[in-house]
Amino acid sequence: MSEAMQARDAVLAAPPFALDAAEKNRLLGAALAELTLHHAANCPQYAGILAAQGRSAPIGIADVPFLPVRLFKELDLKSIAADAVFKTLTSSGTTGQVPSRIYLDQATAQAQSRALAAITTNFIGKDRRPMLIIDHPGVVRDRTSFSARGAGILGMMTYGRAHTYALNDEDMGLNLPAITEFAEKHAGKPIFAFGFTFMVWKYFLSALERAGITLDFPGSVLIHSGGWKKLEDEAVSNEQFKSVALERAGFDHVHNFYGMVEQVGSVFMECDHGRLHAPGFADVIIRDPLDWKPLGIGQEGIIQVVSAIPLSYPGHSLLTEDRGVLTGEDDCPCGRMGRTFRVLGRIPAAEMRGCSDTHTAQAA
Amino acid sequence: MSIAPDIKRQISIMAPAGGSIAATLAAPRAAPFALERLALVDAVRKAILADPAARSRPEMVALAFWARAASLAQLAPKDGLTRAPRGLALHIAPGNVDTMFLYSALLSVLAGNVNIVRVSGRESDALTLLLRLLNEALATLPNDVRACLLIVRYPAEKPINDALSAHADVRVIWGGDDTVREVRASPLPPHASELTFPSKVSAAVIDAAAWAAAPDQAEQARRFALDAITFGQQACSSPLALFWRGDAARVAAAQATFWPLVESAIAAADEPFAARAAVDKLVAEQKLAAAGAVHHRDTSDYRLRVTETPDLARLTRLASDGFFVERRIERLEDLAPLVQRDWQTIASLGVSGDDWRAMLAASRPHGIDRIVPFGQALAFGNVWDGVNLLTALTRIVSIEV
Repeated sequence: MSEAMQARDAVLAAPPFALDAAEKNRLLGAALAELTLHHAANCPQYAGILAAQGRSAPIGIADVPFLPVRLFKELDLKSIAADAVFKTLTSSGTTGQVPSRIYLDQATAQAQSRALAAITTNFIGKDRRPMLIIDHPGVVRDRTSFSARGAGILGMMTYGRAHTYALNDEDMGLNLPAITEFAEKHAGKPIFAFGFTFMVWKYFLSALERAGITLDFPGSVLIHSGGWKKLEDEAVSNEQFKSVALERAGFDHVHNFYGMVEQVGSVFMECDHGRLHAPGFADVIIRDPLDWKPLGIGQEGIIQVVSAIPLSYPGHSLLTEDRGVLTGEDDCPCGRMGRTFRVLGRIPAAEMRGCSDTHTAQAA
Repeated sequence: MSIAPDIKRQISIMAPAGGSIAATLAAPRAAPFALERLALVDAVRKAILADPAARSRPEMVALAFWARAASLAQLAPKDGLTRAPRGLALHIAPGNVDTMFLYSALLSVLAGNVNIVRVSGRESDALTLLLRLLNEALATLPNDVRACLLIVRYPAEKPINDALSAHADVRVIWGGDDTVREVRASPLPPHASELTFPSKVSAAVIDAAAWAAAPDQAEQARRFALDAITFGQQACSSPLALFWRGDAARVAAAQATFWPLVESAIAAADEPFAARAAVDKLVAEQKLAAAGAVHHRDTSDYRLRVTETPDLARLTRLASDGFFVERRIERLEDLAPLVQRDWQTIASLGVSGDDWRAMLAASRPHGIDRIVPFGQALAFGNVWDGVNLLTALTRIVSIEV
């Protein structure tokens, strides 16, 4: 990378939950402005998008132009030469959908893992704990193809030791011998468990309940992610999820996080007070879809996420397909600075009203 | 020949009450424009007009208006030829209701055919309302008349399409390209014919000088807005693009007065605003900007978005609910190379029929099925997608003695 990015370097170097609103707007705002110029200079499509908007250079966080995440499904967007691509991430999208393609160079991948480390250790501490991976080993076996789930697990494995997979490859059933051995070996010690929300609920917590098994990992932390959509369909609330995780496995700190493959490293972790936290190098803005103006605390809108990390592709400011609401700024009882928010679910699908289609689509 | 019981079990009868496949297959055909068939269409019209919910929907009111006896009488061919019904017509309605398929079904009733109409399995208020009205209308008619219009619902599966298609003398497929492909996999008897209404796109053309001189600009803008947004801009006939004819200065001036009026008309229409559509518009305009130099027109909000693009290569449905691309053309002939096979309706303002005829004769574009004034894009015509429906739904018996 030839350009100097002093603000980006500074905001990435700051502790993850230390910047107050004024300082963050100045520092992160400047970093995002650097990135906007960088991508405009290196990604022709991004330059075209900016030119058509005819806007002046951004000055604050909320002024940074944003791309809808779906654009990464429709276009190949990168700010690096093809031979600088270090790895390509793809979203795990529903069957039949085109996945997003996110191109990482080494610098971006490094910034991403550092950022993830800063956030994760803030929640589980610096010591590596025995780690229970609530998935099957096959999900990470093929390291050349990074599914979002596999990449997420590999990313998190760095923060644990004595990795043990809780599920069987064949049928996603509980691997009871492995779990028992793990439980005996680390009895009474706080462990770190990680998995995808739906996998944790369906194949781990529900399976433990069905089998009448109770595990005991006092002081342990469960981190999970991947979205509530499937659990909402089964009418499982976050509260219910947490209480079953405590009863069945003794996980007394359960942290859901919000993030997406299109903006690697920006992880919005839920604290013990149930709020999702924006770290210093990333932020969240809730926008009114009518005119895309930013909304205030308590007003529901569409979630935009910004991050100082993406150098290799123009993903530093993205409009998500999720609805959300800000719950506060610099005022969480947990003491972490920055904005907090809640995710309210996906933007509902549009009503089909035309002549074009479909006899076929209703089978879906 | 009848339908196998395991197929029949999967077919639900939605209207008329007490109707059955067997009764419909056995129902008598009628002479085109027979009185009892006119009575059926009139019963549908009355049911719509008697219903407050239906009366509040413009597309239902338009259907009732079309079904007036006076209007139907004009449909009867006056060429002196002897026409006969084709027999059994199988209609596949689109998955999302608009009333369009009902026009062709009712025309087929008038043609004297016996009809099976497959409606979507997708629940919607509009479909529920339509089925209720059809049931009410059919209940007022004698048994043998009401059996000529059977509304069914069944899973979109080939064996069922096969079974019904085997009985069809004519098949009418509404819906997108995928639907047409899927239903076409079911063979028809050798003598049967088929009408397909696949995916289409539509546009508008305005002559900039004519716009500047138009005495009723606000009204024309309102008609354009309604053509576009009545079905959320998802109808095949709703304009997705606007072509301005004229020199650069005139066009710029016309754009500056036209779009604010459209914006007011859309605001006045007060359609519900969907966040999903706003995101779609954002994706669409950024895709266009990523591909080439474009200009996004300033609008007050995302109910209306307009992207001006100098080289509109291919007209596709990028977004809906108030998303337009526009470009200038010097002469009408400049439009011809852009026209694709799937272009259906041109809503035209300030371009004369003679200009259009001259352009079509000189350039012979592959597409364009109809050219209508603003406000008429969604109005059903008996000639649709280039086909005279009444002709296609009957056969002519030539009597040369």
